[in-house]
Amino acid sequence: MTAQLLQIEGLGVAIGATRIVKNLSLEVRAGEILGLAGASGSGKSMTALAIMQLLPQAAVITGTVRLRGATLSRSEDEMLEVRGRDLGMVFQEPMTALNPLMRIGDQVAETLRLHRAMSASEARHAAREALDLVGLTGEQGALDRFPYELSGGQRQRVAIAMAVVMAPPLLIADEPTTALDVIAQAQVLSVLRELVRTRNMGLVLITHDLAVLKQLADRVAIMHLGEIVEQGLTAEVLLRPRQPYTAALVAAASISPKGAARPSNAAAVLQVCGITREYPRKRRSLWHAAAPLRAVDDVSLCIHAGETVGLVGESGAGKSSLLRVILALERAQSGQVRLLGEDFSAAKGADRYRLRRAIQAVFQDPYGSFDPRWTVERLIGEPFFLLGTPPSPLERRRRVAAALEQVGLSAADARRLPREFSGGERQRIAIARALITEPAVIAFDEALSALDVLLREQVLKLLAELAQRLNVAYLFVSHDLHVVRALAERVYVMQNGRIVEEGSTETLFGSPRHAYTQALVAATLKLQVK
Amino acid sequence: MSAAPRNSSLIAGALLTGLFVAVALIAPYWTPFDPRALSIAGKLLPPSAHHWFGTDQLGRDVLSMIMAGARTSVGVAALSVLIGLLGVPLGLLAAAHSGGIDELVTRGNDLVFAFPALLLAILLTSVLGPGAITAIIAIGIFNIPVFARVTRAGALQLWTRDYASAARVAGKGRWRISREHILPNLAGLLIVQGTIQFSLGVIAEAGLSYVGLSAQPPTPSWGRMLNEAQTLTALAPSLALFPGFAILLFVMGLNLLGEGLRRRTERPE
Amino acid sequence: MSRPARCAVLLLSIAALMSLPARGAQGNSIGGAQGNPAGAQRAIIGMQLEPPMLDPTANPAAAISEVLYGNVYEGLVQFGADGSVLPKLALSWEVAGDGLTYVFHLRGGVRFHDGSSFDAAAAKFSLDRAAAPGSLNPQRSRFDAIRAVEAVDPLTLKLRLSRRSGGLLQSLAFGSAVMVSPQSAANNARQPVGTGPFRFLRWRRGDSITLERNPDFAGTPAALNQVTFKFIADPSAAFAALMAGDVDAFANYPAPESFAKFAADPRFAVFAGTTEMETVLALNERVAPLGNVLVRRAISHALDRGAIIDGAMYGFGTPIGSHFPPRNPAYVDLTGMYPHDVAKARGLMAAAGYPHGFSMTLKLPPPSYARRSGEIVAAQLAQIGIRVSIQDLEWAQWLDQVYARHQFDMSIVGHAEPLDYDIYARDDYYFGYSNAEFKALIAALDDSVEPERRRDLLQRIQRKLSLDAVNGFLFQYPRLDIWNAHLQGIGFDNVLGVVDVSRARYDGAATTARDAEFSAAGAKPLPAYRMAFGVFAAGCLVLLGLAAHRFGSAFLAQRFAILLATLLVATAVIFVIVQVIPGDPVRYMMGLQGDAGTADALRRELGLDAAPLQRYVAWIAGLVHGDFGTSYTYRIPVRALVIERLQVSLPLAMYTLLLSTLLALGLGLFAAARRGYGADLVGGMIQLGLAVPNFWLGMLLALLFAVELHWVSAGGFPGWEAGFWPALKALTLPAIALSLPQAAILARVLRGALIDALHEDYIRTARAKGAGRRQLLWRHALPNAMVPVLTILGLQFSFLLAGAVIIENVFFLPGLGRLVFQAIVQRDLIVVQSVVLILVFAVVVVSFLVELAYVLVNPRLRATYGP
Repeated sequence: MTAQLLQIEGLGVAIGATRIVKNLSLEVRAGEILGLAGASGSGKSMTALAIMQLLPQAAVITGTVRLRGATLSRSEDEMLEVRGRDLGMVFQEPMTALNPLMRIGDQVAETLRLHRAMSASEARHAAREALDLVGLTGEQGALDRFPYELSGGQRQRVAIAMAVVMAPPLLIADEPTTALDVIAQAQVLSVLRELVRTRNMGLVLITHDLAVLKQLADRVAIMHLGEIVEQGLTAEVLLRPRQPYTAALVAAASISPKGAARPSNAAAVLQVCGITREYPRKRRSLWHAAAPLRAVDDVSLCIHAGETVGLVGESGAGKSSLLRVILALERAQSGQVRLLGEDFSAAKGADRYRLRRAIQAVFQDPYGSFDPRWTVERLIGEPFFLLGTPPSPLERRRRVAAALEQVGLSAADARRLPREFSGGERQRIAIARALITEPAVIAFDEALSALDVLLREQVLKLLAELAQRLNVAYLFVSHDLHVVRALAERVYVMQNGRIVEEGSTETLFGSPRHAYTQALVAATLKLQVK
Repeated sequence: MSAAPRNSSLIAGALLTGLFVAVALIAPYWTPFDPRALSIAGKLLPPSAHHWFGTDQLGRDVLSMIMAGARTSVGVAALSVLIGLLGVPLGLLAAAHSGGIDELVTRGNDLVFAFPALLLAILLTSVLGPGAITAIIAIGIFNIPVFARVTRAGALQLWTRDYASAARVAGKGRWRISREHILPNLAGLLIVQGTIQFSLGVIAEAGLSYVGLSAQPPTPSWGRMLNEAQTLTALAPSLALFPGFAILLFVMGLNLLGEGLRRRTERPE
Repeated sequence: MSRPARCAVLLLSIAALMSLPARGAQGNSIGGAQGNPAGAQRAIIGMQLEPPMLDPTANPAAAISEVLYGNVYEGLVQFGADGSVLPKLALSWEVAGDGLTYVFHLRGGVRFHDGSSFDAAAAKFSLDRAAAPGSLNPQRSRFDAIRAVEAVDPLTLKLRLSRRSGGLLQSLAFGSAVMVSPQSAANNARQPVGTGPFRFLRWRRGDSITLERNPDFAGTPAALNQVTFKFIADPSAAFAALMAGDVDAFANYPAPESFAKFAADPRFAVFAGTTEMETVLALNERVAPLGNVLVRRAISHALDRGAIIDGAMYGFGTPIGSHFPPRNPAYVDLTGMYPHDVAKARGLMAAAGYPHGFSMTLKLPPPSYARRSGEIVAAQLAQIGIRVSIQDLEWAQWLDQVYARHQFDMSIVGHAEPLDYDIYARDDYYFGYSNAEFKALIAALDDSVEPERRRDLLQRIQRKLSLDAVNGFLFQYPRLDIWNAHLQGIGFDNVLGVVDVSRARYDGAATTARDAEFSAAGAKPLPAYRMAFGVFAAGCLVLLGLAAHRFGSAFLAQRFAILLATLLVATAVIFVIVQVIPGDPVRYMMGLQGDAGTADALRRELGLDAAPLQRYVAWIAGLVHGDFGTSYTYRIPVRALVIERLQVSLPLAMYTLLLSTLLALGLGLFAAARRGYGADLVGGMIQLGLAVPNFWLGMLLALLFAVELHWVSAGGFPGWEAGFWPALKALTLPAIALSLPQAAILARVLRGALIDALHEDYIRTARAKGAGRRQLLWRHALPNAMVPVLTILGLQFSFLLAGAVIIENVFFLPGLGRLVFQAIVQRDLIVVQSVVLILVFAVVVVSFLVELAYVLVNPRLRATYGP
């Protein structure tokens, strides 16, 4: 029986009158991975910061935290000793977590030099070992690189190296893979798993992604509104949730894949033919022109009426550029976009307006999608601009109300401002706006990635239902394979600006042919409950 | 959020600014004495119950002159900010059309910024003759690129928001989006910049009138009062203090107001 | 680039910047220590106006004579205190009976400073040169009557006239008729050579002229070894300079309001006399109401001279009733002609047909007597219904609008030229007074040599002017001089306003404390400077090389193309602005005298007769060759002027930057590190710094530290050759005044950037590693916060090069800003356009270098610039 490494009893965090974490108790043993899960805002990160005592000054902490039996002091001076030496922490956002002006070797060595009198070369040596440990090795001068020279996954591994270079008995990782694409996620998770195994380290892994937990955690604790609602062995909690909240969470996370594609004898509503989009690169030499960056390379695809098509690929694959060309927000260097059989890219004047009505879009950020000063009615009615003669105010109000009701909101919401709505509601408003011109195609640009699991599931259901009811086609662009699988009938896989594979959802995920698709599918963690 | 943090600089700034603007508005109709009435016999009187701030070398009441000078200061600075607002459409245009127009506006801005502003203002007064109007133009011209730059930077950021893309998907042109979405959302930023330029305008006006290039006598102006007081410091040191403090307090008020407004606009939704 | 390389670049550029003043110090302190023979007698004399050039026979500026006449140059004859003519280089003379032949007997044994001897041939050369057609002599017409000049023998000179000329002897006493050496006359504008007790030593333009004793002087040698004339235009700076002991004397002290303070102070001796300058309210008779003599008389009655003298001149000045100096033996007191009588004036207005008055503008030139009198006159005229709006003009504008184009109603100006009553006989003169009776009087005067008859005519002239109330005659300008009570024998009281130092000396108690400000040697080029510039240039080259290496040649080529295009557009903009400035540089140089022929000759010489486009092309062509043109007023290359001024502006800018950076770092770090009261205090200081106008701060600092405490001098710049510390001391107050507002800006940016940085994720990461507040602040937040601060620093450096103009005025520093300011006022257009262009160039280059530096320092940005 291994000793208790971390014991938390009756932990509470409050900022002013708001109680963010309530009476929380946890235990972690050495060599054990505890998963802390829950929707965003449930208090997971606050719990982690409370253990580290890195909360904002206004926060009040109650309860006790014991590490290896010793109660952690509330004194900042004593915590300076503990942090980094006894407690390591990795944060969510690898892009901003590293000091941009410091070489990564120095940043890793800093942990050592803060705690131990060490010469620069000794610290450097230790830093190199730590970087080896997280798999950042074999490259010349890896220590001397700056964060901007590294990818997100590499940076996250640097952050882990910084956290474990002192070999602390406990590591806290707060959503360490949320900002990474699937392949990088798999690498980081395996690094963490290895560390726990080889060092007999305790790990508190905070994530909203149950699939990650299933893969990694020995035990899980589910948080809701600042409290732990359920905890236990991973397999038990996920397979046989006792609390309804846990059950809902598990159900939402394990979306069932879409059934077989309907026979698509319908007419093609959107045809993309040989689109190439290049961005000029800064000229370096006076004598040689720099080759342009080819973001989209000779891409063709086709969507039929009423069909839902997914477009997947990691960030930087060219998905967004392609989408912007399709929406005529950017001009392609070559190729053609045909809407309803007509050339959209070359259309002018009234034709352009008419064709534009046939394609609408829902964007990624539910907060940035709306002008904060406009009412919902004005926002949803904005595409009326595309009608040659705008509808009368009465007609306008009627149609906005109808659109709102279609997405499950009430007509009364039309007079409110976007800031009065939650993220999920906003995405519904965005969908209502896309529907208002009765388009043949709606393009979704990572439209669900900002929502947490429960909300995501609701919106997915709504989308499926609308597609059925209105016979509208979707082009669904996402890096999240779960979502695409759940919604799309057919999928295109994009890598480095090219379409590398295309096929029905079932076949493509079942037996991927292209190496990249295979890697993608393999790295995707599944939460198959049944 | 619960109770909003106390925005003391907004309150202090608004009070100080309000005081000076009110004085500027009142001065044409009422001052304790006629700021232009000379009284050679009653010159260089020290501050007293009768003349709170004393009298100047020609026997004019200093308090009245400072009140009347506030009008010059407020007027010149405010109008030069208005001229500077010409930069807003330029900035919007530059942000809306990347490429040629953007390059032109940006380079134009850099060019104006590269000129030594004060010397060019002096040069301009040589062309146009000294006076409040000249000062307004000379200060205003240098406000244009400031507003253009701020507008452009702010607009570029707003253009990356999805609602700009949504408006384009709704078929709207760049100029229309600039008007309907970008400009209203920049208003807070522009108001803050406006107060900053206002305060810089007050200092610039004082500098120009100090070298005799702003409002002409007998219209009182703080900078010229300082200039005239300079040789009299041995006889009447208070003459050099009051106009200086007037500038100091007014500019400080405007800065605090700008700071307070900035905090307000930056407060999260 | 590797880390050491980047550090090396930074260090190199910093070292290059810092070494500028530091190296100056080494080179100079040695020279300063050696160059002072003990017991030397030296004096510094302040004056308001700087001569534009040093040849009185080629430029009418009174300041040339005030410094050089009698000290360096001498004439055949000279004026006595009452305007009579006394011998000088001519010991005696005879006038033939018909008044057409003058014979002068010259002094023997006189040598010019260039070693050649003065004799009748040299005198003939001097007079022929002045009278020659095409000569630039400002008073060539005064020599019109001379038909021939003959050198009878080495010591006898004969003048033959074509007509009788009553004023000939007076004309020969003017500065425009001084004796010059045939060998060196052409260089007199820069290197004056005369026969006087002092030789020219050096001229630091915008600051001072220094003379040294002429050991070969024929008469009694001067007592002083060196005399420096320091130019302090600003009346308040003049006050401060005297009080702080920066000058031993001030000639023509421009601030009568503080004169009484000096008079009461035993440390100072004062002189209050009169001058030849009649201050008049000039009326434009061409404008309808003013053409009416009744209106003019009404105006004369409305003027209360007593109040004007009291209010504008603090009681100094003599009321006058006509255009004639009271100290002249022929003076008649006519002040009783028009007593101050508002009722009578109103009656005259009504009689003239203006019972309700009329509106007029009053255009005022810059001097304070005119500006102050103007405000009082306006108030007095308002009482008889004349509504006056005041317009302040620069001299160039005044000369152009009022003097040349007669576009004015009224003006106030002092006529300083001696014996200038003849201006009222000129039809094209700006008053527009044209009276046959008066012209007859002037003609008669010119034709008479008998003293009695001349006296009678002069009195009739005065009465006629008064009767016609041609102008509002206000007061005879006072002559106010202040000097150190230990400095004796200095002479101010003469017709030409010359500061006569030939007999000046210190009594036993004289101080030699300020001797350190002098160096025996002239201003040598400083090798230390060249080295510093060399290091700086090398640093720039290294930076460019690294940039080329990192970002590629295309990046640099593009940058250079933009830079060139910017400069080209800038040249066009500047040229156009400069072209539309009203005011003629030649007119400015000629002043109130001089005739059309001379002006045309000067215009041709300056190349101003070419078409604008032609001038533009010539200017650009010159620029390509590194030739910025030749200053119209100073007549030396603009480049030399700029280099001279940069010795003040550049160190001042760097000093200011250093002070403001240190202050801002302290304040910003303190504010970011502390919370609560301490941070609020810093916040308040920052707000205060942002709001204080730097010129006001400068005024207050000068008052406190120079005038009251005597810690530093109130202004001026001794030059780096006076040693590093004196020079640095002179720059300290201006640097503080400039740096406080700058530091406030910097501190605000730094504090904001630090607080932003402290909220960044990487700070939380560092805290999770166990870093404490100090490490967070110094290792993580500060380096990241320095990036925006660097940008601001670059902007401020460019601003300081030119933006210090007002501070330079407050502290009378000869910097670049003031050079342009003066050049604008003097319409020295070539200086204006070239220097503004250089400043634009500096701004563009500095911002480019800053951009490069911080891209190289900041790896984040390298990604956006790099491949």
